[in-house]
Amino acid sequence: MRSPGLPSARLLTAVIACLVSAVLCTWAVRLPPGLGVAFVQTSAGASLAVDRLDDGTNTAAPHVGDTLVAITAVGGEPLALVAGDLLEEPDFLDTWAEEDAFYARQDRITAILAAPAVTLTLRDSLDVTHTVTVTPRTRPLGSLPLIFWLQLLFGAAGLFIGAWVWALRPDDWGARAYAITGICFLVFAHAAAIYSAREIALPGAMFHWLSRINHLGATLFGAALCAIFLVYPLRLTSARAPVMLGIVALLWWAAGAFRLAPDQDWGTRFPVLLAMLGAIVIAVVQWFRTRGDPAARAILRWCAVSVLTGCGAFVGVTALVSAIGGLPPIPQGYAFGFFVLMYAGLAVGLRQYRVFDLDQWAYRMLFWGVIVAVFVVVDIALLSSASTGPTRMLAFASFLALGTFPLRRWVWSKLFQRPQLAPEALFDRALHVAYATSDAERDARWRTLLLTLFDPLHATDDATRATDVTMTTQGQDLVVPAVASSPAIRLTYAAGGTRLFTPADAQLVRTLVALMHSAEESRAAYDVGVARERTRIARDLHDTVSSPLLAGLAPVSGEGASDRMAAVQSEIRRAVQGMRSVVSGEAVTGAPLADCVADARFAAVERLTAAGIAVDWPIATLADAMLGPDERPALAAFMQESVTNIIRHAGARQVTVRMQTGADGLLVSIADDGQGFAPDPSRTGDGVPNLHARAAALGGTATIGARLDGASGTEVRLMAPLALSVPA
Amino acid sequence: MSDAATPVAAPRAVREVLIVDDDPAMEAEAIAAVAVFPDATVRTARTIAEAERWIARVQFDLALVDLGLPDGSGITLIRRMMGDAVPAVDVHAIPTVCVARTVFDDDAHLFAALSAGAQGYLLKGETIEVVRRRLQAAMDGEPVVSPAIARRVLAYFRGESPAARPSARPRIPAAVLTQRELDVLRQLASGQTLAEVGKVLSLSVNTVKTHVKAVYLRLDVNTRITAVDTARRMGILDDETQR
Repeated sequence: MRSPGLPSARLLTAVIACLVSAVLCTWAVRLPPGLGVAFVQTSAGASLAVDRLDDGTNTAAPHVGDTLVAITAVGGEPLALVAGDLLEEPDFLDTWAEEDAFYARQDRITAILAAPAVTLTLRDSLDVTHTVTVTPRTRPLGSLPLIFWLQLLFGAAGLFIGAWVWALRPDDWGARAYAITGICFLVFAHAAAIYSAREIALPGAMFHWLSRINHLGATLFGAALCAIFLVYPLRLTSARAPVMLGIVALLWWAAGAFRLAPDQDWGTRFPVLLAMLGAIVIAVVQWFRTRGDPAARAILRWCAVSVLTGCGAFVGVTALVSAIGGLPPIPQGYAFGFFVLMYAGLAVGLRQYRVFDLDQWAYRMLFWGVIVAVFVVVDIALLSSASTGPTRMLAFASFLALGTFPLRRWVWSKLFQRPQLAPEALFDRALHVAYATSDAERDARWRTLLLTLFDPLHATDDATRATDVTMTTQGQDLVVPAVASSPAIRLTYAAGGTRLFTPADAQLVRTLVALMHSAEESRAAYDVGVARERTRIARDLHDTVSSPLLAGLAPVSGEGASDRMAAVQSEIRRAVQGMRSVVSGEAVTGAPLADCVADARFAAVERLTAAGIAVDWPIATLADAMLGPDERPALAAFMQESVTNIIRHAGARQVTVRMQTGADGLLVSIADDGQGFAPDPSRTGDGVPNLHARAAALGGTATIGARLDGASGTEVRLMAPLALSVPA
Repeated sequence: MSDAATPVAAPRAVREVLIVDDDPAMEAEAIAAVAVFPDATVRTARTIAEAERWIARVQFDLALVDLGLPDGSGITLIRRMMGDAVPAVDVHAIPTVCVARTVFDDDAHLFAALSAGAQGYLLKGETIEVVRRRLQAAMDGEPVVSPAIARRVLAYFRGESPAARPSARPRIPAAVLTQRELDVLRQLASGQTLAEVGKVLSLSVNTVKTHVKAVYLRLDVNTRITAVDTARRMGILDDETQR
């Protein structure tokens, strides 16, 4: 069962959680009134030195470098202060008794500071003691130390990155465990932020609870760390083991929190250390189990290095140092930064190792979340810095909203909004895809189209061989079936993770796919047509162009060379005509007999008339027949050469042409009233052999001789069988 | 066109001839063909630019224009000579008789030439006798006719010709031809000469010619063919984009 919902909503929830936690911490740390002074522990004499003066409102202020010896409430007893009162982390106290004593002193100090005026007994660098009376007030935001803000930021960063991974992979156990470490980290870092940023003291009970919360976070963090390696990269155990681990951690925490354990070591330090060791052991087990799976091992190596570096460095400088009895070399608050390394490491390595099956696309969501967080934080910062009263705050808020809204929208649209595709452009785009020249290009264009339409965070090839458009997990994914050159594609998280796929999206894709299919079909038909056309042209060029050209290549020499030259030219002309008929496509379809006859008639009448010979050639109705690619030029040449012979040799004054079609095919008679025909074997230029050749090309026969009607002159007759089509 | 409507009284004297062709062999053939006009001075040009320089200086009686020139389509040149930019030499001059020459025998080239006002249309490779006869006929004011052209023009007006069917163009209904024009085209398509058509339809030869020219001027494909030629020359139109 996959969790529905938007990654953006999940990430937004995390951002809000971070902010709420930060606001709560800021509120809590300002509960006890402050002196407006920051102190540091000094090792010499175990006392507090004035480190920093927060503002100049207290007229009789202490000086930087003065040592605070004691505080006294008006009319009360003075309380001598010790360096231990500034202890950053009560975990460093070994026994419950020490801890209780610490909280008791915190209570006393808090009580004194609650008084309307407090007298500070200070000793300056010259060992002169003097007193200053100040009025404790609510601590201004600006006076909170850097370490406070850093811890808030670290905690927020951990939760944010954890939530980011979980937002994109809500069903991945590893990602879940990882996100839980983020929550735990925020809990213990933010709890520690409060007490580590106190001026001197917090109410003891509050301090104790904050410490417990800190322990809770740390213990569960350790358990979650173990849980990560239990389920990721390989699932080593069932889902029950991590849950059991969590329960054990909770119980152990309770034992420490309610003093059932003998001391700090058993109550708080050991469980955390144990969890760390456990995580290492489980990671080693993973190491063995991932042999033979280089990808998983690379992920493991990266995760383990990130986690162990972050946690190890922290433990090294805090828990371990305190366990062997020394003071931590750097304040714990800064050391929390090591955990952020762990989260940052994962965020950086995610792309290279595809941790949690995420890739570069995931950064877009991270970027989105960061921008959202920045917008909100900037608003809160502006509001809190610029306003005091509720009225002014409201006025400022409306100014902020109205004044920066257009700017904000502009920035937002620049960063996240993709151009929308108009529906009417869809058809063109589909054709653009279908008519790409190569499969690879078509695939690329199809993917681009889908990305442009839906702007999903993530698109992967889908192995399910879906045949219809399907939406899964209530709109988180949309599976597009295989189209033409592309496999099925699974689109995840529409509009950069900010919306779900809708039935309308599915319908749109269905339409597109149908459009693509029909475009594909016509393209396929087109491709077949192109191939056929190419074959046809190749064949026709060979038949109609090459053969006359080759005929023209026959050697020319000796007698009749000039006639031969003329013949060559005529062959070349035939080749050119043939080329034209190939290009026009007539060579394949053939030409209607009537058209061929019309052409022949026009040419003959033109030439004979120009030669001063009258023509008697009535236009006859001929049968519907088609002349093939070879027959048409043959008939044209037959007519043309007959006319040439008459003009050159006959000495005729009138030519009579008759054409008819019948059962025998085509009958042509060309009769002249010239001097008559006497075959002369010595002459080759009279074109008689040519006429026979043309007739043969038509599948018929030619006769040349005296006129059949007995008149003087010559008659050329052609009989050619034709594939007659029945008139409709 | 005014000269299309008024019968040409006498054969026009041919003094100035322009031959535009980038192929030297074809140019030589054309020079040989125009030798049929003994008084003619022949000028030659290889490009449209060169030809335009001649046109600006000389009033030509006859121009043989190749349609595929290195710097554009000869159609442009024919249109210019036929009227849209008559040179300033003599505004009252009779327009030059233009004869298109081409290797291509497709409708787009033929119709573009005819509608631009070409009086003749010569396919390269015709015999010199045919070329001379066509030139004479052109000078006599005879429009270029053949059964094949008539068939193709008829097909064009029926919307069957590919040239009549560029994607955005609506089909041209045959109704734009008058009954007489249709009759003339059909007779020509059956293989008869202009004179024979006149006899069959009881019209004067000049009336038949007038009908033919009127039909040709309506073959409005010039812009398209010019654009296609230019694009092909510039390499914009290759196999891929023609799909």
